Amino acid sequence: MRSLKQRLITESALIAGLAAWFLMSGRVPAYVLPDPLAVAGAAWDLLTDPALAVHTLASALRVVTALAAAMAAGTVLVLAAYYVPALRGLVNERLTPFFNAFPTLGWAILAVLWFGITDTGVIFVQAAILLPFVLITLWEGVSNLDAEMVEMARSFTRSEVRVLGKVIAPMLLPYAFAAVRMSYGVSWKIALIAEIFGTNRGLGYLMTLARSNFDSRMLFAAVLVVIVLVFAGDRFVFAPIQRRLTAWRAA
Amino acid sequence: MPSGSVQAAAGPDRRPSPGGDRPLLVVSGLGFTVGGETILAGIDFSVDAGEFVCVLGPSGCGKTTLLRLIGGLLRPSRGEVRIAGADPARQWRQVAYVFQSARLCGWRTAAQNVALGLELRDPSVPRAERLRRAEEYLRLVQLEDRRDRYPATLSGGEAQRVALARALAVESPILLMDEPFANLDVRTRRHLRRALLDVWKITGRTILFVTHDLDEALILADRIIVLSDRPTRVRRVVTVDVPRPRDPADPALEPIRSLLLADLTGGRRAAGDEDGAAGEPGLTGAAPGLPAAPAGRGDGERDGQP
Repeated sequence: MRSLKQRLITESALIAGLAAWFLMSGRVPAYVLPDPLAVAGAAWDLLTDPALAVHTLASALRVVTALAAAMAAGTVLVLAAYYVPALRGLVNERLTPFFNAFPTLGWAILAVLWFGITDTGVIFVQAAILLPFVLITLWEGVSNLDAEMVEMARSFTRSEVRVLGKVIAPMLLPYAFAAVRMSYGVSWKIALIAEIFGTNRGLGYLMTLARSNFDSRMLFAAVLVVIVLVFAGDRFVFAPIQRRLTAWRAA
Repeated sequence: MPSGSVQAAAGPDRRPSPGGDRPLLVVSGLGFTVGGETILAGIDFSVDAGEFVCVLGPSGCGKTTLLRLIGGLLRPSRGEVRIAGADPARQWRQVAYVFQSARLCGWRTAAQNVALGLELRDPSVPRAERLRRAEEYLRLVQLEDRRDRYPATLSGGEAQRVALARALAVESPILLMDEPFANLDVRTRRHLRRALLDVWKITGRTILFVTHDLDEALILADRIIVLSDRPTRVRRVVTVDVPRPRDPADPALEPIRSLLLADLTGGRRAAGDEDGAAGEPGLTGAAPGLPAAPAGRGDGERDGQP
């Protein structure tokens, strides 16, 4: 449990930051630093005004889809490498470093060339960026698998599917969760970059518009919405699920 | 011959079936070589249905490898294993393992761990039946009150009993046990040996029990198969014809003990080899199997009373 002192420091930093922002915004033009209340209002609109919420929803759907795609592709590749040792070099020494090193902007531009202005293009960019995180984290889980537990499972059955489902998958679950939680934040970060190029809908698209109109209020609001969604998703969706699934550790 | 229910198989004072019918498990000329090193150099023995056989040998002589070969988890380099006349690769349903460590799933309760073996082996068994059997076997190992506990909250002895229940619950005729009590303290070990003998009497399973502890083999076995150092062969097979429960200090066990002690120590190349049979407390001969603690002694005395 967190101490009161820790809590005080945590929250006072937030309050001090907001206060500084509020004070500064009175002294500089609005396009440099807009008034926080105006930003909050715009952020509220991004979540509730149907004309704007469409963009927020579009980005959110892409983030979730890309996350699911990267997790699925990563899981398949890691399990393939686990079950077929001949593939390990390919996955761990070629694919993972390749995707890990490839620049985001490179994917973003290529996606426009390959997919045009489509959802698929944006989702592809995000998934390609997320894939190495998933691969590295899940492979870590696979290399830490308790071989004795796997042998125990195989002593009871000759069905690899059941061994995977009943014993291996539960042992990989904490790693899968680490991958999802990390990828969710990263996915939002890169969502906006991918959207600058490849789409006419989404928060990234709105920010491009706002930039050309010198609408700092909207820029800040979009950033605020992303921060809130990443924080809320992690805190109120992933963390509780993970707590539930790992409740046995505390028992 | 899977028994339908725990109680059905046999009466309380069960003795191994006489050698009249064909043995359930036959190991002949079994050899295993890995990386150019011969671990098993031709092992021959057989086990009758319902028999309790201990495989006794120094650490590192390939006892675990032998069990893996019998369960079909490894393929032999030479020779063969026959379970009810067929290859273990086809007869894997006939065996269930208990390992040296309990190997329980931390995310499952004790009862769910017992049910795991069944889930893995036979998904057609309905959930209710699985849980019923899990509870039945937890009761058999006297852990029904730990049913909903997670392994992290169980003692070492309790965890190993859950592992035993998990192996029993699949109702295979053969139980392969790989030094299952070696990681436990002396007192717990003694309790579990007695519990295992009770379970064996009730269920009538065939048990092949690997150990490097001479006293353990003397307390448990109908027959003891003594293995040599690597490359490993069968050095001797002895029948322990002393009624149970047995006290390791019982003079009736003395001739067998000295015979096997000579086998185990005489066969060692280096006298200073630690962790071997010679280093086992039970083999020193001072006070076999009886710890100095008064509680332990009382326990041992009770062991000796029929």
